[in-house]
Amino acid sequence: LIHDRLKPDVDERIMHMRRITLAFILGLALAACGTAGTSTPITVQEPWARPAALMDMDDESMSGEGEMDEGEMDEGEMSEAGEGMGGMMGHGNGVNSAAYMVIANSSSAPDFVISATTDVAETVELHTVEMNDGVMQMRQVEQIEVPANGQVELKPGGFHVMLLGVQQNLNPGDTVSLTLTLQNAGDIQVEATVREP
Amino acid sequence: MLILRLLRSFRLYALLFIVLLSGCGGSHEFTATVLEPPNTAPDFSLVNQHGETFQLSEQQGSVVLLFFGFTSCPDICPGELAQLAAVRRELGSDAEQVQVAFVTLDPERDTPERLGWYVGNFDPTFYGLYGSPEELEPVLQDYGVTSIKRELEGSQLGYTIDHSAFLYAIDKAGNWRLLFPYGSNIDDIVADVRYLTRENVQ
Repeated sequence: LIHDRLKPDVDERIMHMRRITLAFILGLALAACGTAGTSTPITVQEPWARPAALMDMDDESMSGEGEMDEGEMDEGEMSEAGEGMGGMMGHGNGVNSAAYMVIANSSSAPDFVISATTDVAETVELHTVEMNDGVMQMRQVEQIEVPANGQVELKPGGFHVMLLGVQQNLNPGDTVSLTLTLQNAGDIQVEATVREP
Repeated sequence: MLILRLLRSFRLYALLFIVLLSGCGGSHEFTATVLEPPNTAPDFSLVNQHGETFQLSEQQGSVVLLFFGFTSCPDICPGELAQLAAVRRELGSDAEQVQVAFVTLDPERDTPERLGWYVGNFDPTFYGLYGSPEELEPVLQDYGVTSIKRELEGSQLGYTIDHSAFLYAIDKAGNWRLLFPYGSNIDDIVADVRYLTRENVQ
């Protein structure tokens, strides 16, 4: 009997709590929408890229008698071959560079850089370097974690955005536009300044 | 007033520092690992980007800085070469007695021309040295260089070269004197190399 009497009261209380929870979740979702619409928890600081110069076969340093069979190529062909080295050779034989930056994440969830693109290079890959017993080992990575409420530093001798087959000279002072794709935050535009380390 | 006092004490310290330095005379505390007793650097003969023979034993009178790497390398090798270019700038006129030589670990992809282009981006005086795998093998052994070709599946790079990244300093008498670990401070390298350039060679 007592139980029956209490029951509606309890039900009502549960309903009330549910309503509060629902309102809370709705509020949270709205707040999340708000931040996602205007800004992202990801910020990029001090992006920079290494200078790169395309091979110029007319360069003085190329005029020596190297291993190349110069006799079989006239100068015009040499120049064409040189321009081709801008990136068409593939398998790492083009001109390569790297971009570095600090990526910070103000969200309470970790995020991951999963890819990057740029107009100045044929391919962009994510790499890291590990030193084991004094041996530098560079490896491609699938993603770079940006820890929750933390940051990751892409720097020489560590994580870097590798630019393979660079298509144009990257001179100090130039800007390289990169698009980083993060698993949660989506695409982030980065303007990296070309400079010496 | 405080600033003046600080300045005065700074001047005193600076003076003290100079006195102490001059007291040191010829001795120099190397930051790099010192090879003792210094032995004649193992000789080798490779070709530079101009197609000329580079014989190490013929470089006496210059301090030779050797670094081993590969030109497809976008991180460690350009970092080291940029640092060596900065070292030469810092050395000023002492740099005239310093020869930097970058030895390829990737004879498959590198050519003397490509090496010349690569090192020339950092300093026109740098040599890029090339040799066939057979010619390079004893050099790597003599200098304790680790170099392992590693396929990178899925990477456009195709393969990378895992390699040790020491900087070797050979003095004007042709002795292998110093070994700098990767990431050494530029000022430390400058101080050590400057000392070697100013040594009197009998």
